[in-house]
This record gives sequence, C-alpha cells and structure tokens, in this order.
Amino acid sequence: MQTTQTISNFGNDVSFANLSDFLNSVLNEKKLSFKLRFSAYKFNRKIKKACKELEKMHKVIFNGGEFKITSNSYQPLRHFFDNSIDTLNNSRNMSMYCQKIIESEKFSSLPKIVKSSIHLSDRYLNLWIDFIYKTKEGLKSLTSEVKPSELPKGVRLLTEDDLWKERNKAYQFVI
Amino acid sequence: MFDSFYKINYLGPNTSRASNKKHFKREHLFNFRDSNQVLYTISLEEFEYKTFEVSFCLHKDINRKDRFNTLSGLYKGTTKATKVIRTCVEAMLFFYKKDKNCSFMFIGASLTNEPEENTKRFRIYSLLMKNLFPPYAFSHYERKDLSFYLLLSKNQEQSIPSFPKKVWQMINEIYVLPSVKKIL
Repeated sequence: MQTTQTISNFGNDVSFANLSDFLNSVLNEKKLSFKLRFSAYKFNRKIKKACKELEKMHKVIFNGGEFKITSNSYQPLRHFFDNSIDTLNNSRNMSMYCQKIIESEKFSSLPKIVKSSIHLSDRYLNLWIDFIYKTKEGLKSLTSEVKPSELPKGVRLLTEDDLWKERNKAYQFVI
Repeated sequence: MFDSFYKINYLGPNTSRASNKKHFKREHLFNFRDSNQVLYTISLEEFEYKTFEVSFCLHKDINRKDRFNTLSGLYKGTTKATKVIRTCVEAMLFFYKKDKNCSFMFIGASLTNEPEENTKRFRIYSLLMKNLFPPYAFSHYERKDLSFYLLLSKNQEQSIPSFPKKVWQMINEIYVLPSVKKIL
C-alpha cells in the first residue's frame, strides 16, 4: 500500500515543473531575493520528505539488493515503469542542469540554503534515475533464465514484458 | 468477464483410474453445476514435479472419446461459458493454495475439423492464464503448434537446478511430442 501510494504520488509533492522553475530562478536571477531564499527553505523541506519516501520505497522493493515484488506492488510498479520514459528523461536533464549550476562560478556565491536545495534536487533526481534503472532490471529478472537450447523446438518462453503486453489490464491476478 | 465462477466440489483422487502415461501419479476429480444445473467434471492429472494437467467436460460426456473436441452449445450467444472456464482455474488454485510448488499445463483441444495449431480454445485459455497468473509466481511457456500451455512454478524453478529442462523432458515423455492428441 505504501509503495503504491508513493509511486502514484510522484510528481505531486515535488513536480518537475516546480523543480524546473526553482532551478531557473537560481540560474537567471542576478541577485537572490528574500523570496527565493524563503522558497528554497520551503522547497528543501518538501524535497527532504520526498527523498525519505523514495528511499523507503527503494528499501521495500529492492531489499538487500533482492527484487521483492508482491501482488500489491507489481501492477502499480509496472504501470509506473511503462510511463517512466518521460520521468527518466526529465530526471536526467534536470540532474544535468543541477550539475551545471554546481560547476558554475556563481555557485560558490549562492546562499547556503540555496546550495543545499541544488544538492538535494540532484540527489532526489538521481534517486529516481536509480529507481527506474533498478526496476527495469528487477522486472527483467522475473523472466526465467532458461537457455533456449534447453527447451524443445517450438516452445516459446513468455517474458515478463510479453505477458504484460498481452494481458488485459482490467483483470486482477488471482494470486 | 472472467471474474465469477461456480462453486467446485473436490471429489478426491480417482482410485479406479489407471494410466499408461509415464510419470503419472494420480487423477484428482472435481465437479460443479452451472446456473442451469448442468453438471461438469474437472480432472487434474498429477504428474511428477507436482505438475497437473487440467481438463474438463460435461459430466454426461465423460465416457465419450470426443468429449474434449465438441462444443456443448449450451451458451451460444452469451458470455456464460467464461464462468465455466474460470471455474476450472479455481480447481488449479485449490492445489496452488495448498502448495506453492505446483505447476500446471493444458492443451487447448481442437474442434472437429479444426487444425491442432493455435486452436480457438488455446487462444482463450492462454489469454486467461496470462491475465490471472502473474509472472512473479509462474513462468509461462507456450507451444502454439500443439496448442500447449505450461505454467511453471517459480518456487520450484529457483530450488531445483535445470527445472524447466527436466519438466519439458517429462512432458515429451508423457505426450511423445509432437503427436499430441490430448486436450482441455
């Protein structure tokens, strides 16, 4: 349940639009206003909470490096993964943006709270990139590793991806 | 469409049934009545590696040789047949709930004059398996040319080395593939 909520809540607490607006303000404003510092403070609180939730979800699904999938988490995770290309691209772009700010001359002169926002944003984005990558690997591991040479001629092993594409998403699994 | 099912009764192992099939252990029988009180029989033939072959037919046809190759015609123009098919899944779950190491297989029997390849029944049943049995619990295998489907227990796959290879060898010996003539 926790996993399902966290996956479906992604983007509600810290959306890419918010993150992008904030990073743009940092990059473009000549003098950082009080308003921006205050929004950095509020932003940091939100993003810390979001990181914590994401780390918790990581722990549930990839506990000890093992991919732990249950009847409750499989479908929301698979739906999330189906739509994760945009998330992955956005996360990569934004992370590059953060790096650009960190490497810029301006970064050292930024207030501490804003610096912390940039680092937190980068960490949050990398957590998502890592999560999507691990999910991809985890879903792949659901397909049996049997060698085609071990199967009789004409037998087709259906991969996890085949099964997901061929099924009617309206049905619920019986186990 | 495949949400509802009829209540099944487990009749126990069929002690009078002997089989010349290799690796055969016993046959388990279930029955159920549909909404028109028509009686059906579900058979789960148990083989080694806790592998069950599922088949069902109208109880009145149980001694007919072509019992799997005909259509009852009872549900023409309705979707009621889906409830009957879904009921067979309940028989599979009866064993799965007791032992997570169970595997299942079936052949989608051809209708009279229908080729054995990718039969109408196979298309329906295999779709049902993909929709109801998740990839984290079972590996799914199909052999369309024989309309054969296998659900292999992930538990067993992880604990027995070369499990898929062993089961497929067993299946080859049971049916003497590719000349399969049996059914669901």
